[in-house]
Amino acid sequence: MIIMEADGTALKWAESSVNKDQRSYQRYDITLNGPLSAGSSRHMVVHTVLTKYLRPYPSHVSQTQKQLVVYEDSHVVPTVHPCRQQQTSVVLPSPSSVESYSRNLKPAAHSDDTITYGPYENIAPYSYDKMLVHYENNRPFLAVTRMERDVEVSHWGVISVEEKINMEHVGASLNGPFSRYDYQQQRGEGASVRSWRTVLPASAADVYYRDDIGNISTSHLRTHVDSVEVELRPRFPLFGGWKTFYTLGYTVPTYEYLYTSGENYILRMRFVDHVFDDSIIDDAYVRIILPEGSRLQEFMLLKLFYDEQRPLLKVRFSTSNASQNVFWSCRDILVKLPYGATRLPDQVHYTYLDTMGRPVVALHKSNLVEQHIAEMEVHYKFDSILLLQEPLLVVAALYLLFLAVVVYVRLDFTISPDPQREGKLRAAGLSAQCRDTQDRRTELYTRWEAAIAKLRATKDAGAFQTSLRNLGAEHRTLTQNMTDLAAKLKAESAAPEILDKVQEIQKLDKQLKEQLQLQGSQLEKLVASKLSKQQYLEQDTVVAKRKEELAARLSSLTFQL
Amino acid sequence: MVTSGTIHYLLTLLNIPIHIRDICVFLAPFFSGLTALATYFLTKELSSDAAGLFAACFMALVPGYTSRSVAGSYDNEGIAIFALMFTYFLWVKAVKTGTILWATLTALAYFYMVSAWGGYVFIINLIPLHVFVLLLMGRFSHRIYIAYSTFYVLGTLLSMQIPFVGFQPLRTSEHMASAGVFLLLQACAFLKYIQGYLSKSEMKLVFFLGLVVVGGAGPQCQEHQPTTWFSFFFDLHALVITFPVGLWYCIKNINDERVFIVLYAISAVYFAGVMVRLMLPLTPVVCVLSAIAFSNIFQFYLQEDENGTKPAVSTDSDSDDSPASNKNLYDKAGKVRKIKVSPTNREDPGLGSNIRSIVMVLLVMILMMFTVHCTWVTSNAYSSPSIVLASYANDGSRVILDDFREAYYWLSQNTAPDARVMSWWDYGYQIQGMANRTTLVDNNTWNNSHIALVGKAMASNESAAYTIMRALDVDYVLVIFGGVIGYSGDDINKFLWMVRIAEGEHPKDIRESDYFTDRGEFRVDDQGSPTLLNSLMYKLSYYRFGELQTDYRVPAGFDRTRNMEIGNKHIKLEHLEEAYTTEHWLVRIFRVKSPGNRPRIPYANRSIRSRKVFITKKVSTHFYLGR
Amino acid sequence: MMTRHVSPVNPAVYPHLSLVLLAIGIFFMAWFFVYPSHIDACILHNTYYEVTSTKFTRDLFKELLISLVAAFFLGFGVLFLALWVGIYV
Repeated sequence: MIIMEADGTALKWAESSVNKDQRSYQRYDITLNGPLSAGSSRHMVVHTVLTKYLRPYPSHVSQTQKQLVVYEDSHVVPTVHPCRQQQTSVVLPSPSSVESYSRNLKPAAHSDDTITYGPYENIAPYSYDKMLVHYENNRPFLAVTRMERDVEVSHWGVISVEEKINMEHVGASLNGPFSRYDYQQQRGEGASVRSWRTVLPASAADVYYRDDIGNISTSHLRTHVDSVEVELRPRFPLFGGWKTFYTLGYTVPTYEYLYTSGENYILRMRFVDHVFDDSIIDDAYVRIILPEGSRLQEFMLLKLFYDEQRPLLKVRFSTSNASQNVFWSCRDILVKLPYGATRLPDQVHYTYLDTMGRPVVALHKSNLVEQHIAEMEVHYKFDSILLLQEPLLVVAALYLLFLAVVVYVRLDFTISPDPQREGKLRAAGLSAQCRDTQDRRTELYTRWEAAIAKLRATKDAGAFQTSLRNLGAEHRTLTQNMTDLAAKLKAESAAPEILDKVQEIQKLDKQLKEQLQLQGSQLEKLVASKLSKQQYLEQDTVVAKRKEELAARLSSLTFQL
Repeated sequence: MVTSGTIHYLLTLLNIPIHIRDICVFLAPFFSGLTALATYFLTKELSSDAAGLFAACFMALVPGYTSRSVAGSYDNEGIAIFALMFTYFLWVKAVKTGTILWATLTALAYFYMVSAWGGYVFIINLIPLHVFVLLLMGRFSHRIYIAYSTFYVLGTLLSMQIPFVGFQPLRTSEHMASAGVFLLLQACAFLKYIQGYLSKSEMKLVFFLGLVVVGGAGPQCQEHQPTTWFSFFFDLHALVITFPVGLWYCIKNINDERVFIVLYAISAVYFAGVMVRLMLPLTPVVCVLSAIAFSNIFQFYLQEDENGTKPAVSTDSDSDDSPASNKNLYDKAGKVRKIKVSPTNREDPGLGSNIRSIVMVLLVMILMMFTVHCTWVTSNAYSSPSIVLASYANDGSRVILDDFREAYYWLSQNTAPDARVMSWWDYGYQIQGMANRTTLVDNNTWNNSHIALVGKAMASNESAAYTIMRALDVDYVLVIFGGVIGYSGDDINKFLWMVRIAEGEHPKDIRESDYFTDRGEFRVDDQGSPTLLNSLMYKLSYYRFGELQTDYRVPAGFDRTRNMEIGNKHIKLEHLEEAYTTEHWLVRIFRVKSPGNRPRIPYANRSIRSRKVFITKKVSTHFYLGR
Repeated sequence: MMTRHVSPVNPAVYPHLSLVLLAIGIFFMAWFFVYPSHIDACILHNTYYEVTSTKFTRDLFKELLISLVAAFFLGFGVLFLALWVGIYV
């Protein structure tokens, strides 16, 4: 990772390889912001982040020994142009003891935590002089050997991120026994790793930390204003050469990272996120799983942002810059610097309620450092109506189940038909129909009663006659139904008691009808003043009582059907 | 296993990505739900659907069954009891309807049972017993004939497809009963057929001849721990009392299928009384019969009037609205009515309403106490996972001890993939499953001599053990040590079993009495026997423990489990080195070092002795076996 | 031009929605299962007057309709249940 700037603005550069003096160099040609006139000077800063430069030496230490590393570089900075004055300072991480440092090229001085080489005068271009600093560095050398990051986008409001991380301690390997007693006494801690902090996006929720054999309970979650910090402690402390594997997952809401305009969607997420401070990732595989039915448009690695707290990086690349953009289309892979990730062939991911699978964009990059935490964009098209495919799938599945039940109860598995049972079933059906008919007749009587009551109220004989005619017609049809059913029942001869009941009902019904007619005619006579009130009341009560008896017996019989 | 695999396959086919581990964990509870359903159907066939509901509820709660079907207990009994109840339901249905369809389904369910559990022998003896008793009671009918013949032929043929069973149905005595009853049934059917053509005396002769054919084959008596009343009550609670009541109801209103449940009950009670493990087949029948008892009692006390009282008088009402309370649950299509306790006038008072309400309240209280007991038992006694230990600190907060998984994960990540681990057989499956490493012996303890060899290695001194470990190509040794936290299931407590098993195979090298003190005590402090204090297990468990002080009140090296200060505090290991110990010292893993390059022979034993000899103070160098 | 994407249904309402839809779905499902019912028991006990639905009286259309409604409500209920639980389909 190389960053170049001058006076706070980015500088463009081009990379090439050069061989000189049996040594190969990587040459960077930098374009300055403005012309440099004769005699003027320009101040330029080049930041380089290098990984795996420190070599543990000795490569194997015991639990109580100190860890020493060797840093190999050149005393003089190799330059293309001749250099008039040059100074190299090696800043060690802490005022640690230095085992040795090369003193070939004087002057070399060591004070506190800095070793100063120089100043050197008049250095020729492409010069190299080997420098070795062997010092104590008990800092734990953690590295992520392999990281798989899955970003699953769901249009129901949530983006799920899951990272599978293989973590290894790449410092001096542990030699010999591991004594828990010494470790607990703290003199046996050595350069081991007990825990590390991972910083998650501010809106991360449902954080889980597990591995192959279950949930790891040794973690702490702290929510801050602008981030969520989780302190992860692996199941066992990591000594040199030891490794572990874990899965860290969380969800973030879509309104933070997903932008839409009609059918087009843009997902802006980080390529890799924070794993631990000063992290190095050897291999990162990033998969972005888009909802089913989305069509990929274009994929761009856009800008490299960074926190304001780290004023290192102030570079902005624009996509239109021909030499430095990173752009590739669905079909082509055009990898340009600096942040060139390889796009692997698209995959398909199957999960809940999928029929065709979800399209997956797979990317790979090796040798990432913390400065590589940058946003990328995925453009795709998605029809919102396709969201309905998921519930409708469940509905269809359940409906098929119900259909199966409907078909099953209509299946007949009897080997030989049982005539008696068939007859009983048919009789049961007929009796149900009888009951239906009788119910309708009962309802008819209700309306008859209502008509009589209306007559009593309005004394309108004409209307009464018309309604009576209608009711009479209906009654006749219903009675006809009943007789038909009774005939069928007789033909069955499977359930004689039903037949008896039906015939009884018919008889009672006829009587009830007579009573009603009587009541009706009496009322008419009263209206037409052919009958005195007293007589009417007497007859009415008699009729009413008889009606009630009949009605009661009718309903009980009907119920028994 | 086939069941879990099939479920996983089907779900993956439907794109429902559930991990196989989660399927295995939740298989037992899922099947226990199905068992409740099967119990409902069985009881519905025997009595009524109200009793069925009771039985299903009891089955869902009863501790005797939940103990074997907690989530995570992946054992055969989880699905076997479901298969059992389902087979019995289908058999009762077959007996009732006498159709070939139901008998065939019974045979298929029996096949599933055979593939699931060795307890299928129970079914293949109970069903013939049922048929036999029915014959004795004179209840022969064509339904039984069809049901049993179909079931026996198909069921036996299907069971012989399982490799474990093979040709046993034709050879062993456990299966003879079913064959005998089959032949007897044919004889009875034949007799009935020719009944019209023979006189009565001839009939009797033929009948008795037929009886002789039946071979009695009662299952053998197992010499095992008999069941105490405590376990009966703990696992069944109130159902123990109501179970004989249900039995009595069944006997009083006997019919073909109730004979079956009575026989099941009697045989299950006998076996449960003999061996505590056989409480499991007793549990379903207790649930069924108690449910019948409860539902009959409720029915009797809740019953208000007879069928079809006079409804309220109104000609304008549909039959739906008539408030008659009777046992017809279903009215017109779509409208479900519950049994109403109608306060209308009753024809005969019968029981006073006071007694009724008292009895109802008492019964409901018993049921509630049963529920409380079941939930308490399940949560306290049957819910502790054995991999993750939980303890409570002084201030009441819970401390999780995840040492087992810590050690197994370390093994899986930081050892060579083909490393071989020696441990006692209890942890074999765990190491295989979680650490994914080869073990010497595991929970499938069928090779006793191999286990004895491991025991001998653990019980010998370090050099002798090293010889055995080199012969077995062991890379790592794993021991469980509970002295720091007071865990009582560690290897030192199991040590005498290792000694005994080793002594069984190697009586000349290992003698159990060597490990006790003169007075016959098993002590780990300085009064312990020297053989014990020099054994590999002792050394590995207490390596560097002598320097650790767990509490300021006790000296360093105080073993919390045995409550003693250990005797041998300055342990030096020659052929092993400590590879990893977990946070609470629970699991200790040691690496076996390869043999020394140049072993140093003491001067006295040398064949070439030079005059001037320089004896180096260095010990022989050892090369490590590497990672 | 580009607005932030929010879920069509407010995630806070997932629990309530799933419970309500599932309850209605289960009600309809129960109705569906009870509707064509218990022939065997009735015939066996000679209580044939109780038989409300035999193969001679069933109404196919009504059954299909009830099952469709039940499947619809249950399906959506299951979807919201999955979303509530954390399976973001």
